[in-house]
Amino acid sequence: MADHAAQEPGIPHTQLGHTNPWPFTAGVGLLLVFFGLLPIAYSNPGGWLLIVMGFGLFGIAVAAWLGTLSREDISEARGLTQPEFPRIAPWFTGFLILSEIFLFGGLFASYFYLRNWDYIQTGSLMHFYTGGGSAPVQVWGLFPLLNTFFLLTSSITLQIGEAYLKKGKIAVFQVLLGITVLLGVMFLASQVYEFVNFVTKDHFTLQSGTYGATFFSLTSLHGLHVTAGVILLSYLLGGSFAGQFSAKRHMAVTVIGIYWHFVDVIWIFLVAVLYLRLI
Amino acid sequence: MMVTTLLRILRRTFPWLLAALVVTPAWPSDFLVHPVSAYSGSIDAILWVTIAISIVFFALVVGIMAFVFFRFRAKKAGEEGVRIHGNVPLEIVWTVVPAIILVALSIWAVDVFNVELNPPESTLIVKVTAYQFGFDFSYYESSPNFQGAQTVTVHNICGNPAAFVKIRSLGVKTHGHFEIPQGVPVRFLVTSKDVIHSFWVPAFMIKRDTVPGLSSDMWLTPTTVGTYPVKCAVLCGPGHDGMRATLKVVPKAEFSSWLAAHKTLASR
Amino acid sequence: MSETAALAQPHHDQEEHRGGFRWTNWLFTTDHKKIGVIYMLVAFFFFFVGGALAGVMRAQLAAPDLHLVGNTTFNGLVSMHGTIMIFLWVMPMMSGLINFVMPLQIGTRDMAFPRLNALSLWIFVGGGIVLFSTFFLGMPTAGWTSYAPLSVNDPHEVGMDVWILGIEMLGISSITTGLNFVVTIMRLRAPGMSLFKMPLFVWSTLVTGWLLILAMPAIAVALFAVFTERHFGVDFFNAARGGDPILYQHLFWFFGHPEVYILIMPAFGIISEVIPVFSRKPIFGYKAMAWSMIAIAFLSFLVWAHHMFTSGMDPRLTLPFMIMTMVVAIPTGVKMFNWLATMWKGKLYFELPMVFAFGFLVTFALGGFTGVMLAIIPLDLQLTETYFVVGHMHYVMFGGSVLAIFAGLYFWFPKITGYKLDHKLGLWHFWITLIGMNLAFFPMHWLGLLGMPRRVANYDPSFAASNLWVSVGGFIMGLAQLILVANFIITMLKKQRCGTNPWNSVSLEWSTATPVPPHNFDVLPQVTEGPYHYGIPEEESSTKEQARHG
Repeated sequence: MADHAAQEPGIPHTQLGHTNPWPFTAGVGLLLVFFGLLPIAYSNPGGWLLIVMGFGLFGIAVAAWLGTLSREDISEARGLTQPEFPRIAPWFTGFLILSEIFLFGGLFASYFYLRNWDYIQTGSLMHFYTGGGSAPVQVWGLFPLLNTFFLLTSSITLQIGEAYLKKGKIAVFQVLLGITVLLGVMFLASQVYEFVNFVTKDHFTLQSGTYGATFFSLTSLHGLHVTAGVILLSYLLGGSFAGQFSAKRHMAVTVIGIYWHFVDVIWIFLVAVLYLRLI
Repeated sequence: MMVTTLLRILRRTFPWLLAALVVTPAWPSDFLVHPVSAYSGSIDAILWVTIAISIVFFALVVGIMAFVFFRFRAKKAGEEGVRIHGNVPLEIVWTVVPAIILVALSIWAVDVFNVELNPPESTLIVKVTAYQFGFDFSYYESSPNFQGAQTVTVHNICGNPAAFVKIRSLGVKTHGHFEIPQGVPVRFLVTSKDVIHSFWVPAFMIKRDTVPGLSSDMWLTPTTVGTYPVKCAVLCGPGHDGMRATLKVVPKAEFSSWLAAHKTLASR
Repeated sequence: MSETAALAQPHHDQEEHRGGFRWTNWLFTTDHKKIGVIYMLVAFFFFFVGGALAGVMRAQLAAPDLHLVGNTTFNGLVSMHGTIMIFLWVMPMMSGLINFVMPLQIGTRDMAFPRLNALSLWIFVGGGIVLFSTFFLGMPTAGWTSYAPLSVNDPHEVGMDVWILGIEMLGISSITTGLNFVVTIMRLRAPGMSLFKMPLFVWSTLVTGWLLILAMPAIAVALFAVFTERHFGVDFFNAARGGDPILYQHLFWFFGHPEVYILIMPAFGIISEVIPVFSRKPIFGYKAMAWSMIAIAFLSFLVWAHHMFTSGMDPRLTLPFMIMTMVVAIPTGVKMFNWLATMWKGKLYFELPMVFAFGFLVTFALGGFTGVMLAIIPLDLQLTETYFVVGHMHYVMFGGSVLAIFAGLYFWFPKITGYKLDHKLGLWHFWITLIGMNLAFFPMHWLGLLGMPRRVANYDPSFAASNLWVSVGGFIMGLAQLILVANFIITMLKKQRCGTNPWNSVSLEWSTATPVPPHNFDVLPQVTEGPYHYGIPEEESSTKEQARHG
């Protein structure tokens, strides 16, 4: 079993041994963000400065890092360099998703535990859903319905787009990818609107008992993942205009696609458990 | 040659000689040898047997190591060992034998634990309320037949919806010191006012965490008259090390008079 | 030895050819070897910081009623000592050794994701900085376990928040590190190195990677909940508003138990490398050793509530956890026996790594037995939250993980630097550490049994004699580490080269030059033999009693 791809003599490797300032920079940025969270917790708005600086630095580092990945990909596509390692990106995504399943799993477990706990304490199955209020909160409605449509459709457009890419039809791929990004953004906008409604109209917030705590924790964590996904999809879009992808070379598209579908699957669980209360 | 080997052995055993010196004055404590509650004797038994098994296996390990140290030590550079890769029957033996011992210990442990899980009918209840940094004790009697305004039902003991008890206050409340009668099973309902503490009576080999918003329970039947320290066993703040109480086990008659003397009009 | 095949010459890196020290070569490195060295240096710094904290605690506990520091400070020392030793000493030290050695052992040029590796490193350093800042901003005082509601109740305790943020950063670093370990091992092994031809250190790394990926998220959730409950009025653990404090313990220990296996698994790997080399024999029962690590890792997710037997959770539900804890003892015992059998009919050389391995076997065995005692619920009801547990954990964490770390350090030091650490000084280090360690931690077992709770700033006078021994032992153990520092300095100054394979190991990392070139191997190796190809075949050895020249 040869894990190392056959190497062509004379062509330099893409990344072996090079120094790269972006991991260090990203680390510093993250450090600033975490230090900024501290004043925020103590209602000191100075924390926002640190957070903005930190995210800014982190963002620059990530953008530059992604740019490096793009340039390397393009360089390999043109045969100017050869990859150091064989196909490993899908493995990264696979294990990342596994870790994320346990992350969401921890919150889902807390949800079920606290719901059962509420039932033990009050004897009522619906009391948990009141979130400390007088009646069970009505969470299912237009917005989550729309959001489900947005996300499911975006997965379809992405998959179809990738299929066209594999046939070499890059322009179609770019259009479908653009629609995917747009649907992702619409999901986020819709969810923000939904949350504002919850807070102002229904008085249903993060502080609404254990239901509010778990509901908003789960949906917000998911929203963060959608945001990261939108950023990565945008990176794909940019890369496609730089000629990074072709019918034969599109590992990044596949891998980010897997991630996006995972985010979609989590959403289905959120709908089934939190919104429709099927489980 | 002999001297260096002797010195080597001495150096190896010195820490254990030292430990033995220390062990003697502190060992064994009375309650480990003379149990003071009805079932703490069974806990002592499983304790001593497990220690004994551990010593035997530890001696085996150290013995084998001492043997290989002397027998297979390389005398000069370049010596090689024998290329043995493994031995399946041996693997089976040292998987199955410890498994059998552990299974036996588990069965015994379940047996001992079952006693703790299934208290006898006790009508005397002591409610322990931990707080930063002390213990309050209040006395109740219990019966499944209690009804009416004076009856309090404690629900969901240990988070079990089927576990509840009906109690009536005996009108006695104490801080930091409490007494229970000898030979009578006492059930403790423990909870906390603020953070998690733990109600620990070392002499009785049992503790239970006191959790705010939840009632946990434990029981024991003291057999020996005496005064026993109670300590908090969960880090609960700056006063944790000083969070104490005392438990006094007294003869039944003395307990009745103590109870009567401490009854106040402000009950519960 | 493994055969090598001619493969293409890799591109040589410019930066390594410039002489001298350049900051950018280290701050911006993506080389697993440099990253490994930085991890180890930072870890050693925190080893001494954490040790100093223990020194203050044991100074106060040397006699009753000393009150050298206030109780709040003492609780802070307790919390930070545990936090530092676990997250900033053992974990990064193991990570450092793995980073340096593992890619070499599997015959590849770097980790699967070198830049991500660098990110892991710097997020770790950032987390270390955040945690170190608690010495200035205020230490957390709820123990490294930070149970709710104690960790929630005082929203003005800055140290608690700083601690949470630091741990969350370290969690991110750990997950990305785990990802790198797993993918590297699964995909980048040299041709011919099937899974069951990997060295056991690589197996232990693979298993540790899995644990990191799957266990760290739980503590991220737990601490997120604590943080929001502290400052944003969120109800996870608030009993008055429908929450349950015990949920915290479930979340924490679902992480916490696999975490302790994250601490010991690489130690198992190191010992499995050292003993065959210095017994000149293959590891006994290679497949059993590999499978037992997989079994232990899997089972480690099923035992968490053995930390919660007295917690107030439904007692009927505690029984399965006792059973599973007994079950996980079985593969652990299998490993002990296989290590002993490896030495049988070997030729034992008592170089420093082997000496420390011997120490590991004795102290880890002891720790294992006290672990079985704690698994027995009726015993645990007495022993949990007492000094017995402190004794148990230090026997497995110091006697286990740290002695193995020392074994690994003495073993791989020549590969990292080209010099062997001094043997005599190493022996002094070993013996004084071992004596101090046993003096410090053995009395803790009966202290707990007899009634001394843990995390206390003071105790009953009846415990005074034993506590004095514990403190004396602790100081002896702490001072012994200075011998290691002296050894390091003297060795680095002496600059006495020792060759590329001073221990005559057949493992791949020893087949390359020292110092290891940036691209690791001039020609990538092809593997044909198993990883422990030592010793003379049985037929040949049985005809002669005396040693053959190798």
